[in-house]
Amino acid sequence: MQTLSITSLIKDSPSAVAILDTQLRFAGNSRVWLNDFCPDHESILGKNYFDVIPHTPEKLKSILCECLENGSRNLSEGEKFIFPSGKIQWLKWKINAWTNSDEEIGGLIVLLEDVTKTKRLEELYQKAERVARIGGWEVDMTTNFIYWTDITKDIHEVPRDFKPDLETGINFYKKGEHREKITNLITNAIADGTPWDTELIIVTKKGNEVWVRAKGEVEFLDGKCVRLFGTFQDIDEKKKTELKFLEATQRLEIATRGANVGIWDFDIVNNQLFWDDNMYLLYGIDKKDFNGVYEAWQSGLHPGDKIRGEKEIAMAISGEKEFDTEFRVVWPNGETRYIKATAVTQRNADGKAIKMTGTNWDITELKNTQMMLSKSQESFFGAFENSDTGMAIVSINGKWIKVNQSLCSSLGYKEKELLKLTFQQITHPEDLQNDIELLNQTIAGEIPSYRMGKRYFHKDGSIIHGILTVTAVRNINGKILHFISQVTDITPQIENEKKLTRLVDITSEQNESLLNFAHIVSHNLRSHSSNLAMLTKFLVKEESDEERQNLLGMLSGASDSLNETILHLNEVVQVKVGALEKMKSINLYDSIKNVKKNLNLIIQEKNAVCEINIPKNLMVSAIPAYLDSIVLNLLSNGIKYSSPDRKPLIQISSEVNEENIILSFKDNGLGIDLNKHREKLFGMYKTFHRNKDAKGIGLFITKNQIEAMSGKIEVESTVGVGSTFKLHFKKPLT
Amino acid sequence: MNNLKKTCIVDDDAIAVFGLKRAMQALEFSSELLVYENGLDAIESFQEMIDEDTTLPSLILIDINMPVMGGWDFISEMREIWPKDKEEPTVYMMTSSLSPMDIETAKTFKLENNYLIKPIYAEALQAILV
Repeated sequence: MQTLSITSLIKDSPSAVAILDTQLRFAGNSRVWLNDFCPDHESILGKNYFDVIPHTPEKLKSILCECLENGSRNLSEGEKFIFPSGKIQWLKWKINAWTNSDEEIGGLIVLLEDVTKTKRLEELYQKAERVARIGGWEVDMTTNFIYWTDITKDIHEVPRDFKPDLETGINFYKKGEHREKITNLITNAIADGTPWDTELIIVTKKGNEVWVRAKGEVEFLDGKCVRLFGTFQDIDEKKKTELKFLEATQRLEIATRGANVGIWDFDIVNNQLFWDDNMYLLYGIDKKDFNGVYEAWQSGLHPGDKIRGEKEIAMAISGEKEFDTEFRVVWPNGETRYIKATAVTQRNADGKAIKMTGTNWDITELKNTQMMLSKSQESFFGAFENSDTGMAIVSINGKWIKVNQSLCSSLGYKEKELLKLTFQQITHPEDLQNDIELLNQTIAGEIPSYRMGKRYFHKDGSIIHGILTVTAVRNINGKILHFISQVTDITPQIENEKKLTRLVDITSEQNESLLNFAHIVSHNLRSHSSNLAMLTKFLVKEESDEERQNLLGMLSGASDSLNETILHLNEVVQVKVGALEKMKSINLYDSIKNVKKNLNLIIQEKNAVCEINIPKNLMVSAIPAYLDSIVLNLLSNGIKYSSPDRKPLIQISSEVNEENIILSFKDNGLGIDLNKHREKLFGMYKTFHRNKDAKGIGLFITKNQIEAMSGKIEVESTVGVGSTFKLHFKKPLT
Repeated sequence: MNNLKKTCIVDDDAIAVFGLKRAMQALEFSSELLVYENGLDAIESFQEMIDEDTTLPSLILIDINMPVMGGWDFISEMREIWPKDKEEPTVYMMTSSLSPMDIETAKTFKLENNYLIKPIYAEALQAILV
């Protein structure tokens, strides 16, 4: 009965309990056992344990047998079993052998609990702990016992058998603000029970710096802190990411501020608009002055852009067109600024717009620059079309892209005709190479532009003189887009210049002869007058009669000389006056022949030979008296300055070119050192040989005479060999 | 007034030479006087003196305008042949010309202060014969 009563007592036990006999048959069990382990059976009494619970793990089977055999006890706080079906079961048991009154083993008392649920949670928790790297810790203030979980130890990088105390625990925190902060937090917690939750850096045993989240709480008993406990989490990665994110955010903020970019955010669902601080700056308004952002936006928008702006937002929400626009805002001070705005619309899974995020930036400067550019472009083309200078835009290969009216009229082409040509085709070949070289230097970037005088061919074939200025137009990368050529037509100036040069030549020739004459007067006449003055002065003072006679003789000689000089000068003046009117067509040969006849006496005296190689019918335009005088002078000079070493030979010949008839007198006489005397050869009273007859007047008169007939005289001479005088006469008018 | 050993006059104008001689007489200037009709004659004569190492003139009065070789050419030639170890003579240019061009030429020979305008009387000569 005792057994029965025990059995019935067991029946109501709150745990799963079973009493087994020596055959492992159920002698009794609690209802909980039946519920938990044999829900299919109404009664299990007398039935074998393994028949009732066929899935008993092998390990438990052998434990049961062992306990029965040895009368021993076995205890498990929880054992995990995985069945062939994959099912996992956690079992917790207490097995005791029971003995009867004879102290013999009567069977086993089995206390079994299915702790799968709890254990699973525990296991999950542990796993989570490991994965999240959350460790636990505890300080018992009464015993001063400190407990760290394995994870806590791992985070500190200390071995599992590490024995921490409160001080070493605190000393793991990085020296400085981190250690100070944790010390303060713990002190406060002990003092008044304030829990803590903070993020700090520890330096691990291995010397690594790690961000941790430390949480702690305190327990009080009778107003005294008895226990501190909390968690300890490795948040290094998260923290570093966070810090990086923060840094990036700050950088972005700086960047957007620097770039004058404002960022806005429109929560479509809740109809809320958010602006960052830059937005207010862009709108020139103060955040404080407005109740809401939407209101601020509406107030800043230029009235002319309001409707369009709202429409564009509506289109972005509906998905018709992304928000990408420009509008004006009016600042409170009245200034109008241009804003460029773009936005991205976020949609939920159904494609419904939920949020718009966008940027605004001030493009006023850009806009102004654009307007200025277009203005300057307009004025460039205005100037281009209306310029008096020929202008063209020329492609890199030399083709005209655009030409103005002035260039067309200078070159005689119509615009259409000119556009079909290249500049090379109408450039004078002698100037082309130079132009191309400079152009290539410009293309190579060696020079920014160039300027040159060059000749073009007019459509009618005539030459156009121009001054060309070429400037390369480059894009922002330095690549040449085209050239701007400016051509100033200087043909009329060149023509005028030529005329002017001719006039200057004539003037300077006349000036020269005038100067020459002035010099003659100043020198030759003055030398006589000075002699006359001197002699007269002497005469006045002289007392000796004999000397007075002498002086009178000299005076008379001096006055004769003066007279002679005046006659010579008069001759020259006569030569210059009205010469051209007296020009006639004269037979050259006859004239020379006549002069030669008059000189026959000296020619014979000197035993000279005079050859005349002139066509008998050659006519020149000359003044007969001058021609005679010139021939007489040159012929007699040739004989007078003959070399004593050889027989005098004078060769007179002629040559006819396009404009002139050239008469040459070639002798084999003394010759003249032209390096020394060329300048003075034709001057008055210049003599170069020690010839007593020489007066220095012949060549002077000759030069004046030939020039009076629009001709000229040239000389070639070598000392000791001879001289050749060449006279240029005009051809007679036909 | 006799510290100049040799004085030289180069002028083709006999009357001018006569005038100078007369002025020198009036000044009782009794140096040895050499007279040439043109620059070339003077140069040739100087060359002989150099070759023979006789005394060269220390004062030269020379006309600018002369046949064969004028005054300027003479100076160029003279400076070329003049021995380096002998002191260069004092040269005075003489001219009847009032042309400013002659003064400019004189400057190129550094003779703008040694410039006498004809007629040259004793008063003008006295200053340079001292």
